[in-house]
Amino acid sequence: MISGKLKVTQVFSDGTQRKVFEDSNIITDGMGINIATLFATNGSQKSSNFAPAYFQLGTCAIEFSAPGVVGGAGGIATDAQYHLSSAFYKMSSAYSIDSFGESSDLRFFYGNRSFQASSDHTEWGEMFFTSALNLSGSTTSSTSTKEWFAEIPVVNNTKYYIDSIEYRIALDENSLNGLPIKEVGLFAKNPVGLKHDHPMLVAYKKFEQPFNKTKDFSLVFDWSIGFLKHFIAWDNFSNVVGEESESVEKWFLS
Amino acid sequence: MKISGQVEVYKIMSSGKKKLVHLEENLLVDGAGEHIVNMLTMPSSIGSLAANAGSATLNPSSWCVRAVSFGKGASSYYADKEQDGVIEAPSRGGHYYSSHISSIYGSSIEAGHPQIMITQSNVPVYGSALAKHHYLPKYPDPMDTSLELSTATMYEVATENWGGTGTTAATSGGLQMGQNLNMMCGASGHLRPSDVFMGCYAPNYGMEYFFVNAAWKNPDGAFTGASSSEIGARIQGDNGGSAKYVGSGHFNSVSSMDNRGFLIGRTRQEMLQSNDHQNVMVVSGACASSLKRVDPAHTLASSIMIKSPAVAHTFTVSAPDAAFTNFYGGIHHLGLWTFDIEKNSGKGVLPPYNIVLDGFGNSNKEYKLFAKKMFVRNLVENSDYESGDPAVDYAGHLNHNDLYIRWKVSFDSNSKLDTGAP
Repeated sequence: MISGKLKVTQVFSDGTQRKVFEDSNIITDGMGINIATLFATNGSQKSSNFAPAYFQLGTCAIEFSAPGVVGGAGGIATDAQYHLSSAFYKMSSAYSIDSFGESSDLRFFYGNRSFQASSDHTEWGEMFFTSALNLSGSTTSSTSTKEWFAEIPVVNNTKYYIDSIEYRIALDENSLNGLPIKEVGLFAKNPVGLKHDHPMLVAYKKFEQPFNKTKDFSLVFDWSIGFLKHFIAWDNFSNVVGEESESVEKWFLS
Repeated sequence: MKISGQVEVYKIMSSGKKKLVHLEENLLVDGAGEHIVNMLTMPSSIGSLAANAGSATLNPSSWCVRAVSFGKGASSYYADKEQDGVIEAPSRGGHYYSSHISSIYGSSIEAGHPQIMITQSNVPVYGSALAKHHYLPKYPDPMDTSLELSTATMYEVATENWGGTGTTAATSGGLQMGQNLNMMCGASGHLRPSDVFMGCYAPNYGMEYFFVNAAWKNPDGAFTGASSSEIGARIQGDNGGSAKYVGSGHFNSVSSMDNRGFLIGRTRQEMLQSNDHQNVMVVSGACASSLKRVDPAHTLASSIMIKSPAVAHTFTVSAPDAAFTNFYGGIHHLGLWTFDIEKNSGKGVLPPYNIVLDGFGNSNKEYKLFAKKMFVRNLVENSDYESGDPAVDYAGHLNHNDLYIRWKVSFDSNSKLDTGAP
């Protein structure tokens, strides 16, 4: 099981910290393609190109809509959408470099985004939720237009536990002030191995209540992705007769 | 996102058709997660990595699954319980050189080497189906780092209890790999009695083997206490006769398995021909929702992964190797292994990892267990066919099928909806 958790912390100039959000995320289909491509040696010939290295922040969020309407507001998702809830490769509305402000400490990359494309026998398009159904073919492709991606420094990637990684995204006091943050996406560097980086979305989180960034604090996103959500040991210390034992989660306790 | 594995085992029938005999989920061990995390946090994750390791360390071929191994329950390596002061032969039977037998049947192979294999039989008439010992493997545990914890061999029992049995002087040394070893992979001149004890795959130059009636419970190390006539009377052959058989292993013919029992894997960049899966394990991209194997040629094109991206590991256990592993207790375990870059670096072995076996079958590579699969039934089990008509009857050991095995590790996304609320 690959799963992830995102913690968002406000860090004020006097050093005080306040955790404002902590929840599990969506590991998108891109992560599976990313790792499978590496293990099949079908893509980049450099393993570091498969590691998350970029992020985007957005002003809207990917929504799971009413049946038959993708991207609409609210409603009950169809079974297909439940099963394909991670079949997307883009943000709803990512901020460009201009939104971050001239004084931002972040480094940016302007490039094409990778995605999995599907065909309905007539033309190819980016897979997005139910558009993945009834496909006749699939291949990895990339956008024809470029987007802005913020870099995650390599030093911000930590082997957090023997089988999990933590990526730290630091949004300094001078970045994105006055703008709501409703989504965040984590992108692998360049799994297809093209000459220039072609980031691919591998994890995503939307926020029901957007964060309004100000110059009073920086926002730190600690994004943990691991491979052992469910610990296999069973809790045998149940002291109530008839009560079923519950599995103990090693981490990511919800 | 769920990482899962599925093992498909096909028998290749005489018509060439494949018959699916197993289709089961596997267990990905903790080492898989650790390996992927190491990969995604390179180079900081590998503390012992030498400064001059070079860019090859970052090559995916250094990180993908690079070996498969076979095994059985630990008890099958050892022996039956002691009975009446005598330790019975293990399920793999006794495997001993006997100058007496050689003198009876002659030997086409270099004299003085333990080229004779004697296995038990519980079918006196046909003398070819092995005595079946149902030693189950240990239960699968995510924390496993090997297929079995102990693989002490019958050979060690022999040295402890039947000391001074002539040719049985060596020990199995440090090769407690928890899996079937391939001790007969070197040249014939290098073969030792201990190699014959530990097995488990026939040498490429052929090995003579005989069957002994299972009623004979106490085969000593070199049959020194038995007369030639007694031994000859207990040797069983097809249709009641006595016979000498010769087996030659395919893995050792193509030098694709090291002496620790790791069948080497080859990536698409390293493939030599389309039928590589008959010689080595082939790593290729696959669609997990399809049962159809992804032909190596297809992996040269762009990704064909659709909804469930997966990696296929395809290999074949040829009939001669199936027969010999059955002599040694069969196959109850399969294991997928990646390179253990940390251990390799620690011993100064740096990428790129060129797997070349020396004359003794050493590959000088360390591996880390990625996934394992346990089978309750012996994958290479077979039986004699006895109809009463000698013209159509056949011995089981002569009728093994090739096994075509595809092990897919898939990365299925099946996330719950994200409401955005913490």
